Amino acid sequence: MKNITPIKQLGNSVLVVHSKSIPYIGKKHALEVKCIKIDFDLSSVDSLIELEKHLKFNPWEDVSDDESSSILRRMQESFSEKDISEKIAKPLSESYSTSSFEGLDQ
Amino acid sequence: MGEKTSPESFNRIKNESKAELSNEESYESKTSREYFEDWEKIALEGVVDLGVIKKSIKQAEKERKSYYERLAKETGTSVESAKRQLQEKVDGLVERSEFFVCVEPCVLEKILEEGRWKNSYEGVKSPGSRNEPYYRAVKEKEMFGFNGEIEMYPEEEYGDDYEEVWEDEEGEEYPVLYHVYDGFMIRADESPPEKDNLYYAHKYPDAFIDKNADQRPIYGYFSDEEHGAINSVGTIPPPTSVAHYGRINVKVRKERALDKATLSFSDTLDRDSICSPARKPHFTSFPISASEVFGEICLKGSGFLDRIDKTSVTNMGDEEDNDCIPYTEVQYHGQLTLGDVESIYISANNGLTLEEVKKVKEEIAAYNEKHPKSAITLIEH
Repeated sequence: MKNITPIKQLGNSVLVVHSKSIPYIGKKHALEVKCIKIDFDLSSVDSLIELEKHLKFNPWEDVSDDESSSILRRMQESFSEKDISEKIAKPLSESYSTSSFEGLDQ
Repeated sequence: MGEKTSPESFNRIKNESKAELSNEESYESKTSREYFEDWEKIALEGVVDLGVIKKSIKQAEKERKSYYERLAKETGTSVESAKRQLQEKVDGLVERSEFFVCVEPCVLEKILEEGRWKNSYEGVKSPGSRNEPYYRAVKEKEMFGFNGEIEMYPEEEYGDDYEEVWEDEEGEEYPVLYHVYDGFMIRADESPPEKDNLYYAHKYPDAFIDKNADQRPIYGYFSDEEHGAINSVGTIPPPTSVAHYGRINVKVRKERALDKATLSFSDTLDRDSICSPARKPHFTSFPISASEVFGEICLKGSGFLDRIDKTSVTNMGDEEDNDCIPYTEVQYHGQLTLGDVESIYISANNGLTLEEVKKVKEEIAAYNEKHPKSAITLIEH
């Protein structure tokens, strides 16, 4: 779960991003911040997409720190370690490492 | 003695002055001049500055001069004729289309309760997350003049350097020095990685995000397929390309959409998108240039204007498909309400589970029972 942060929620869906990309949300490099939509009802994990696109279409709501912890726990209960690693952590990490803000000191 | 004026500059100044004297605006083409003839009659609901839209259209046409010249060459005609053909194409495509918005079942449930769509600005609770929607807020200011009267903080407000007095844990005061770059404050003891990426939100006061938050555009799409298909084949199945944003397609009554919507033939989050009123789309809203995200595709091969004929067939970034429109986006202004809705389309072929189909049917039936005057039709396909 290292570097996975739930950032927005809507019903039983959440958007997760790479933790280090959070400072860049909504700013100059906003379109490089990618997210993954997880639907707990459908037990589905979408592919990587620009966070801004999801925020444009739907009234996503903030995730508080408490909610963030419980969402991460729920992810562990709902998905296998392999799925979390391959379908969530790996694409987020790859996307972050190829972004133009990777390695910048915040 | 002033600088010598070149004949070209002199003629330009003379023409500009002439236009000014006769109170005539200059246009890049006859097509645009005719387009703007009845512009004053356009009225859009919501927080939209038509002056900003007009300026963007005119500027885009000017900046894309070379691309329209290439289009004319490709189509074997004059630039004016190419623009006219493009305008006719755009008019026809929009006229044959219906207006949609896609929603998830959980969002539809809330809309049925509250009577209107909400946007993500209304979900902003913490001061920190005010930073998050700035990118689109700035785009909406550029595209529609939304909250355009709210000025950025002037750089002079802080001067070149700005010192704050902080207190340590023991109450001891110490100075913290900031450098100010173009309105951004960056702590002098931190390395500034990219000045224009830090403290981006600090360029505007909070009101830039908070004011009129419930009036921000609601984003949808237009399609000439009856159920709101929008994908590489123009039918459902397969699910639409926007199904991951919402698997239920809601059709907006066309007359209402024309009253309150602007549109573009591309994703407005991408660069260079130009929006024009749905009632009066302009050809600059159709991307053709190489500088636009998918534009180069459109210029491949001659006769693309003849081949592109359906707004339901889009490539959504699949660069292999030359004969598709990149995307068809609608921005509904001044709130989107259930009163604007004509019909709701549900289908297991668009990603809904059978349980979800059943639940939505029950919810709509309950809504219609509670609101006997409701004209919303539910269509399962």
